Amino acid sequence: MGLTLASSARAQTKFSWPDTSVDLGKYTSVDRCIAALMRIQQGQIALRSQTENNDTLPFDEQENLKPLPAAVRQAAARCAARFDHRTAKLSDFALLMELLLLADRDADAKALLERRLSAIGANGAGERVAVEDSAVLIYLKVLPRRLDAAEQVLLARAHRGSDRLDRMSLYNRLMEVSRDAGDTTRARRAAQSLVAVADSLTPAERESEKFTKMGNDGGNVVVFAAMLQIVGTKTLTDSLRHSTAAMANLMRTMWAQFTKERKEALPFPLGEHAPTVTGDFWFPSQAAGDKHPSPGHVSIVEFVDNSRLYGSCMNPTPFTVIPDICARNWYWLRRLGNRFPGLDITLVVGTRGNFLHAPPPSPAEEAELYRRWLEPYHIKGAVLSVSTRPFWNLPVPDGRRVDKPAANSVAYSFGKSWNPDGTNGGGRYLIDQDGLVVDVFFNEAATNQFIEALLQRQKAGGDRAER
Amino acid sequence: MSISRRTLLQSGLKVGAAAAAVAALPRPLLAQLGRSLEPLPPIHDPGIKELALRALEAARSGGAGYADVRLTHERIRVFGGQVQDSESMLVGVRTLVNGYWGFASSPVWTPDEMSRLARESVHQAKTNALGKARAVDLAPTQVIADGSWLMPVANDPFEISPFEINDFLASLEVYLHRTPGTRITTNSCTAVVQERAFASTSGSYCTQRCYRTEGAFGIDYTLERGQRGTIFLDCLSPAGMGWELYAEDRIPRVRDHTMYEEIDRALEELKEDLLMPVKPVEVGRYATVFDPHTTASIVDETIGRATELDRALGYEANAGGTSYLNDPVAMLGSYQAGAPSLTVTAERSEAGAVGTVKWDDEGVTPEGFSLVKSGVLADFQTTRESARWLEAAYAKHDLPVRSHGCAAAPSAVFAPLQHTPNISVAAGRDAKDFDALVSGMARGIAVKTGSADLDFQHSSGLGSGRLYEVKQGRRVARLAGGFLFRATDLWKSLQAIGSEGALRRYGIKATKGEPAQEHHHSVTAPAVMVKDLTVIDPLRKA
Amino acid sequence: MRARTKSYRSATERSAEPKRLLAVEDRILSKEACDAIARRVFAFAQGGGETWVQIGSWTRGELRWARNRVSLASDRRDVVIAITRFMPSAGLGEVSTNQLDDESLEAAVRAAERIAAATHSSSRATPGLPPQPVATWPKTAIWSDATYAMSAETRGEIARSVIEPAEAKGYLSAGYIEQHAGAIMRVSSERPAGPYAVVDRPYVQWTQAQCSMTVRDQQGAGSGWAGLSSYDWQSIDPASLGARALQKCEASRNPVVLEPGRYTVILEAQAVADLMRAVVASMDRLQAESGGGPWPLAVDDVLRIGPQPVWRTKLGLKVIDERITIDHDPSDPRLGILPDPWMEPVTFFDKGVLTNLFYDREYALAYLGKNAPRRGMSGYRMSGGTTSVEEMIASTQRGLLVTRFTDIRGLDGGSLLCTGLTRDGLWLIEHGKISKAVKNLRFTESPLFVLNSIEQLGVPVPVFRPVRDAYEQRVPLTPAIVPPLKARDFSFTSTIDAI
Repeated sequence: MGLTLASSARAQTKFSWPDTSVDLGKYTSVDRCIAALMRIQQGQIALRSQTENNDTLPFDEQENLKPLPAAVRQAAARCAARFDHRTAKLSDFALLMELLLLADRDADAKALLERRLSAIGANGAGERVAVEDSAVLIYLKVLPRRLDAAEQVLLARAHRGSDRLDRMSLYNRLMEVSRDAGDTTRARRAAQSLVAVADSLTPAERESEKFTKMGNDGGNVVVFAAMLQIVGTKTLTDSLRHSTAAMANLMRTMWAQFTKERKEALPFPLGEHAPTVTGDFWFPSQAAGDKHPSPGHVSIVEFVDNSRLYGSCMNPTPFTVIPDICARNWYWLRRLGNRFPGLDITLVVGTRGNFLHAPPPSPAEEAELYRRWLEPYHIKGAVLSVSTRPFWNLPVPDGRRVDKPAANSVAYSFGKSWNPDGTNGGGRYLIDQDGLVVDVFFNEAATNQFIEALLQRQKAGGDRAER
Repeated sequence: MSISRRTLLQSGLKVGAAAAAVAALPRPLLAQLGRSLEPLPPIHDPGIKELALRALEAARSGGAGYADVRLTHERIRVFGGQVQDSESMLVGVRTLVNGYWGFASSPVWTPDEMSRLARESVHQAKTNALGKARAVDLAPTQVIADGSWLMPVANDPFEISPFEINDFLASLEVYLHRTPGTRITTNSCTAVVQERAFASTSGSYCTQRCYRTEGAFGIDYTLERGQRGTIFLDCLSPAGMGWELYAEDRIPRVRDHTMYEEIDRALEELKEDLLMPVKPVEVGRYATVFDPHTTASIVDETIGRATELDRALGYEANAGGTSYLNDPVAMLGSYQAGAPSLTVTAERSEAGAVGTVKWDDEGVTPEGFSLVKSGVLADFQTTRESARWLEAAYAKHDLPVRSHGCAAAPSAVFAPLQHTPNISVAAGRDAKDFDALVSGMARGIAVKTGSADLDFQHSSGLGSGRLYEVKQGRRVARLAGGFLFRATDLWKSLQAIGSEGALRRYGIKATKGEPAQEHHHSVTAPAVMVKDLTVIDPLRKA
Repeated sequence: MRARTKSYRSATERSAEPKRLLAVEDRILSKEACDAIARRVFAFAQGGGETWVQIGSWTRGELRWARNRVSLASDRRDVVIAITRFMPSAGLGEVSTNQLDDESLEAAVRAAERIAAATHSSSRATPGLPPQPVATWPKTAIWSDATYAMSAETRGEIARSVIEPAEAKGYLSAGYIEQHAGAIMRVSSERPAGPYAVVDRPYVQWTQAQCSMTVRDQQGAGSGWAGLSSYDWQSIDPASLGARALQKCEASRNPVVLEPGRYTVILEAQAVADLMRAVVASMDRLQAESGGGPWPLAVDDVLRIGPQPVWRTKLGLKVIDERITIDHDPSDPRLGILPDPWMEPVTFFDKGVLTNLFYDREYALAYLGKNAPRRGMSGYRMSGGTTSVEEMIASTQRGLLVTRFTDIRGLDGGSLLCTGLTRDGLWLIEHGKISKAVKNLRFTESPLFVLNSIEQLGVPVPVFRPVRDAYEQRVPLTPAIVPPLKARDFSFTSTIDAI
């Protein structure tokens, strides 16, 4: 009896796991539905990553226009079935609209929006604007992006008085999302609307904080981007095929046109001479003997971001859904290297005295660690330059290391407030065969076209020379 | 300002662009990796009773005059993004030999171990029984023959999909973010279920399953003009409930609104606070209104702790201290602990309270009893052993000598101690809540989410919390201050007690003993008003 | 294709397994037992990925008394096995159990895998990254055979011998003796080679003993306390503790009310250690360099490290009396923090100058170019002098003698202003002699202020600082060797009732 008892007492149903499937139909609040969909979406991303390494794939413009995975759509439909857009609480408007769109019920979402708008009183002009703004953002946030619907709302709003800077921001968002989705026509339309509003800004508005903090880099840059969008990659490429100076001049003219500053004030080093990259350690070592960027070759100079220990290029936060940003970088460079033999790629790093959790290396050891990190990506035509970054230490006992700018970083800042070591991923430069900077923004499609144009120009020059 | 390259035409590196492959839900991996196992027998299985009786038998044959044994099987699950599980099985045997207690415990449930623990427990007792005589006369208790009880909960948190629970917790964040400027600081939920079996040589055997669920939801809120503050929801303190703590639309005495509405109310409250001017406190004595949270905290410390009989008689002197009720036999029935309007009762039966059980850890069925009746100290918290210590007092007041069922231990690896049961402050007769009491004050102070540090006799206290200056019935400013009081003086100065409808119940974790052990109990209290509270600047040095 | 590890065993194989329950003689798990458990856990893992297992065990012999009689004597023990599974392309799952049999461990591993599978992650190993180095754990053993071997009989005899003198004088004695031993080990299935490898925590076992008692007057008119904790039972002298508690009780009876105010105080070593807790908790470098706590100095106008502004701190500045040096001596097992002693020779305050603040390894790598953390101040020794408490009393015109403080709470992080209560003996000193016992007082004072107002220092001694282990999930108190001291202008803000 004792033995049997002992073994049955020991045998356990430990940690029994209840039925993990959830009946989404019983989720009574929109917030719960959205929370569930976030979880399901993350699960789908994780599942996909088991079979695909997303980083290695070229950027797919159509990605954000594709329908969501069936699991998410079904879940959204199940959740949304409980809510009647004609009678649902208007305080739930924003989340419910998102839910309906995720469930492919666009018509219902639109009806809900209209219902929300018609509930606004006669004196609610400000409220109306706010609701329309949030609707635009929702249309541009859900997957697949609802570009048509967003544009419709924006255009309708254009006729009503509203804060010009807010409208600029919205047009900017529409432009970006359209561009990402490969819808250049719509992007251009949005850009034109943006520029039209920008032209009507008062001096006070141009100096306002809202303007100077617009987008990532300020209102001037936002407008510049819109102008480039209007001009179109083809025009830029045609101009580039003629000469780099011509393209740079085109851009400078656009800058000056809006900002009323001198053409030279363009904050990007387009058309300038790219300095020679220096380095204390080169991989492969024979690259030390050559000049980089390489004369006569189309070159890319890329500054590697090693500025932070965590959440940086090298060490993404573990166990997160967001994939490693930098891996994507390297795979893209690899694609470029494969597509354009003869492309000279120089990766530039300044030492920091640490490399993740490795014992603090000497500069030579640290350089070796960078090599070991980057080499597995097999970027054809790439060389790595590692410079010993100068630094000093705060006096003992503080002792913290304060880095001074490395020579390459100083050179490649072109005397402007342009930091190639920035924490936003580092500077990247496309340089033509004569050593002039062609592009610093980089978009996979555009980059390919620029490089093609440069190669055609070289070939045409070669053909002419031969004749 | 440096210009990043991630701008303008660049788009290939946007992280958010993630489209996933089509796949079915839920992930098939879960089922495939699983393996079915034999079940642990439910706690009321006769096999467990066999183990328990074996321990008692060994104790008796070892020379124990009294013995009891506890087996606990506890599971804890922590939610919130992740899910963490832990499980433990423990057994403890307590024996009484010639007036001395011994105790032995371990994580092993086998017949041999039952015998070993019993022998060890007797051995421990006997090493001290060599000394001076000690009398332990356990108060009688009704014999429970094979009792079995399941704490009634509406939703067993261990039977609900963790996805559903985590979705709900995540939805609270989604709801919070409807309001701009908000950020979550904490969002988690812990569920505990403990199955315990108890057997004693008094002839009792009973099994119980008890639940405890608690959570934390903290909000950081920045207003348009930059004022910033934090607040926690106060409806998630430990409760003798299941998942309904979150899922129910309303829980009487805990919250009158859904969790989403509670978030709205918390934001409104915080916003109101942030927009109020902050004034330094003017030291002085003021009429003061305490909200239910403050009342509950202070009652718990000044009356809940002070009426623990073991503490009052010096059994915690080397640890937490003693009690200002330092002569229990004389004080019972005569000590004026507060104003005549103050009545404080104790029980372990309120549905949803976290100290609720069917039988305590000595097999006693707790019954409700008064701690303070109409301002007079009426009784103390007792166990079977300590009830006898009040024999003279009980005789004088014609009360039976009986344990009030306050024996408890966090799990079987600890020996049971006398712990505070659920306590409640009786509501007043006027239908008033916190706001109504404040609106009746021409000038004074109001305290919300207050608590107090008491001295080691639980008499002198330094209170803190959100203090407000009240003028003409309205809270007009925040005060950077605290307050000083003496337990009995404070409760004697009660002016008004809030109504039944304004009662609020909070779960509190208390620690006592050597080695330290925890116990959860609930305190139910209304808002109250007191006279002449000394308000000070606690940061001011002498 | 899938790496299925063999988890099936025949019945005979199972019975031939080394003991899988916590056996009688296993008061704590030995290294061999922990290794065997870890092997079994790793063998149960399915689906690839990495597994961590932390195996902890503890045993305690306890004796508690009150009102001159032992109230409970106990022998208790438990284990905790915490298993974490990291699954490829999934998340992590943590499950813990206290059972050692196969079924329980396997069920725990499965449960961890289920949880991991339910937590999503698509993070991939980055190729070419260097491995994490293995930490070097210190060698000083915090172990005493005397503590481990202390029997229930010994505890019983000690209790009787300590109670007897107090009872003979008509007082009530209460107290507690505890013998504690524990062991812990943490291992990863991947060892340092894997991409998510964690530093293993090699097997360590330790002991701790404590003995404390409170003697009170029957009417509650007086109370005295004495106590000591140590890894080594032999350094605790219960008889002298008992005598001290008794003497303080007698001397503390019928205290009079004293007006609060600023007083010269003589703090016994225990009181100094009580007050120092706020300092111990504040010694964080990253906090100081973000502007929090008492150690930031000012934001530098010009300097930046990366994008962050640079906060200068008081490192290198004299912040307390130059007679005070506070450091950690790794060769002294009395200063070990359990169960994760990271012992290195560090000076925190060097002749009053703030010299070191705690930082972790990531900080060290990012800012200091070093691959080692700097320990915090838990487990410290403070320098002193040679003045005895008696000499301090004799040289005090008017002051207060404090046995210890209790219920201390921080009020302001920037100044370390705290409030708390005196307990178990407070005496007024007048003209170089103890004149009367005084009712306990609430203080509002900062330990930093005290350390800047020192007049005299005594010989440093170990104090009562029982360390809680992880099982109890308490904030560990910190072992300390501190001197008694005399300081001026200590602020007492109100009287309290409690004796």
